[in-house]
Amino acid sequence: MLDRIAEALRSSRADHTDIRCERAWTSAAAARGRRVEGLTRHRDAGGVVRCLVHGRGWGIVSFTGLDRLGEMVTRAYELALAVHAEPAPALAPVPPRELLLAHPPADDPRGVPLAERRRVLDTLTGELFGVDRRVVDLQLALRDEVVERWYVSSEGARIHELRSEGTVAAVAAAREEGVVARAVDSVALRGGWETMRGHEAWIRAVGARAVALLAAGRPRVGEMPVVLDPRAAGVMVHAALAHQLEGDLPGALPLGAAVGSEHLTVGDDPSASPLRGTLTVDDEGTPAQPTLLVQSGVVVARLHSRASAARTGEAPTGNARAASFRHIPAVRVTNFHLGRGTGSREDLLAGIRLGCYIEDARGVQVDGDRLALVVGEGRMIRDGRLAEPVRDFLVHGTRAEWLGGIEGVAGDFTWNPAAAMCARGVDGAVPVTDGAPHVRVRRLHVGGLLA
Amino acid sequence: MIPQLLERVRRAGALGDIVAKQDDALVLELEQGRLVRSAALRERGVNLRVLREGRSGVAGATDDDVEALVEAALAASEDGAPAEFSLPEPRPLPRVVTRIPRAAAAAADELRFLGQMVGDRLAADGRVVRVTVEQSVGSVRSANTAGLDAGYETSTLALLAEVAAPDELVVRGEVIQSDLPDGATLERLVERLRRTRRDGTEKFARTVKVGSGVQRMELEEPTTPELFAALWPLTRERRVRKRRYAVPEGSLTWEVDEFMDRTLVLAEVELPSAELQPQPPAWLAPYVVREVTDEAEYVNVNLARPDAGA
Repeated sequence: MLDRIAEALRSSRADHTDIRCERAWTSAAAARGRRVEGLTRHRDAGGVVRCLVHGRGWGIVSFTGLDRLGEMVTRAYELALAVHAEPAPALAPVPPRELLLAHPPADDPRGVPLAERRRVLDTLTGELFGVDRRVVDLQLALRDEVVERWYVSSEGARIHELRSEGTVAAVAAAREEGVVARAVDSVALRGGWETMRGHEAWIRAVGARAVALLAAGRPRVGEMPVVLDPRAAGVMVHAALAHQLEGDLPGALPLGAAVGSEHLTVGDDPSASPLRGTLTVDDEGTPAQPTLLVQSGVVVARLHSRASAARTGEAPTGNARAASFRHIPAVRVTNFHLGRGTGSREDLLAGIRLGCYIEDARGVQVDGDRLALVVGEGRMIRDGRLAEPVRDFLVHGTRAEWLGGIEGVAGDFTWNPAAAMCARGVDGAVPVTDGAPHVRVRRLHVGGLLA
Repeated sequence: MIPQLLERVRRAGALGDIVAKQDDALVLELEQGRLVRSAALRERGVNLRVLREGRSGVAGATDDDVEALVEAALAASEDGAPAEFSLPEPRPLPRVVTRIPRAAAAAADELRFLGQMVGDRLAADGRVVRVTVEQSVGSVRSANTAGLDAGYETSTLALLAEVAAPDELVVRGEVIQSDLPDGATLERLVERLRRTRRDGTEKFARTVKVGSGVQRMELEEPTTPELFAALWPLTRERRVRKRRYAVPEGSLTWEVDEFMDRTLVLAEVELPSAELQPQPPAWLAPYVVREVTDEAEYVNVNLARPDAGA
């Protein structure tokens, strides 16, 4: 395939041409309650050609099927000739590489019959409903995917890689005396079919959390100190900063900007393995590398593609990512993390007379400068200890209140294994991982009820 | 490919139906009137659903491997969801226009001109105006083992505009329709006028809407008292007169509109999440008659009526 792509690329008259082709095999299974709702298989194949003509700009063609590559190169070149971008786009130099990394997983899910997915659904469903009679409903989704990619550039890059991943996601509902509580969780693992095994304890824990939440009340409303567990802290820092550190966006933070307290250290690490955001090279063939972005509350670097690096005079960081062959690479985070501090969760809880502890952040609403964390599960903090459980509420404040208010970061850093995606408008959604330790924020508004 | 697929499904003793789609799109991105990026998308794919022995299975592909697609769908049905349905048989179908030839045939230069025209209307000192024009021409075909074989062709023209200026919000809007928003459509620009009085000062804003119905392009810009005075009489038949009160409640602000030309008071609050249900505060709750969020007749444009007032 690499040779076929290289042959097509040789016909290009553009100053720079690159071709990225992709084949994806996806299987999915879903259950609602004890009933299987669907089993599906999908094969997807296609590619994208980018032509850059100096003094003009980019012409881009994406397509399904892989049998008309030469025609697509010609079309992309013609499109580039019509462009008059000012300033003319350029690419920061990156040494071309040949990387042949397409090793199928030992336990290749493409060879596993769909009936096995049905068995996994049945097993996990049985485990969940066996937790407690009060568990009354379940939405369960399995998905496994193998994606093979080829990348060839006119500069001489030749890359062939294969990525395999399995995802399990569940929503469990418990009911008692008219009260309904839900627990939500997901796990995404890189690897072959083995990623679908061994989730019995995990789904029992999801069911147990739903049952435990039946006894949870609403939090006391008001402003108070907040301690976030590593998952919630990762979600919050991602929402507050990820897009602002992507160097191709007009609103990217400038170098030197003060964005948080001295305890705030943030980075992006595509080399942390094996996580959802882990890359060897990005979708322009640039080696992926760890980047320290915020140090002691100050922006010290930004993420870049080759194009955004050329525009800003900064260095490419290997963060050009495309959601699929239907998308062109844009600057995106990979494994985004809040750096570890020192001490433990208990150290952060100490001294808080009344506060809120967040265990499960189900999302973030960003409205201009305000961030509202949608909290599914938490605990009140009373006299430095975790107290009664609370659920379904918002914690909100401005970016300055969230990030500037960080007054303690523990040393218990963990990556969140959830099936997280980072979406950005027309650039689509890419898989990412967030990581963080426990974090204490000085004062935030707790309250606002979820229906 | 479709007859082969259906024949293969029949031979397997199954029922089946297919949706096949293909689409050719051209995307032009303009900034300050210049074409800065040009992209094309050619996509086709097929989804096959089979029903065998009371269970259904689905498979999809973007290649031409008929055998692999049918095998995948049949395999999915073996352990798939229990299902019972019958497939529609061939019958006369209504003729519906889903492709406008002039939109489908519009050349790249025409599309670029359209984008430039919109950009020109929005241009102002200090503003960055980005316009994206996307033309999409495609077809959809649906067929089944009961003999139905129907299809239609589509054209879509999307016009997206983004206006940014220092110290202003980025404003985005879009038009999506089957036809070109050519001269005739652009002449139907709707200018909706709104004025607000707050803290003793009067602010004028002009909201420009392109088209109507599902077309959605809305750009609001400050305007002058003189222009407002000139345009206001034109809205005589379509006015809403109301007094707005802003009432802080915790971190939220309730906006209460007292209509001056009818007996109606509406309260509205912006919630940080669409998942939230509004909880009327204690001072408001006794007066709430009902929730009207989803009632179209309470949208400003539908509340507007002839007005002899100011």
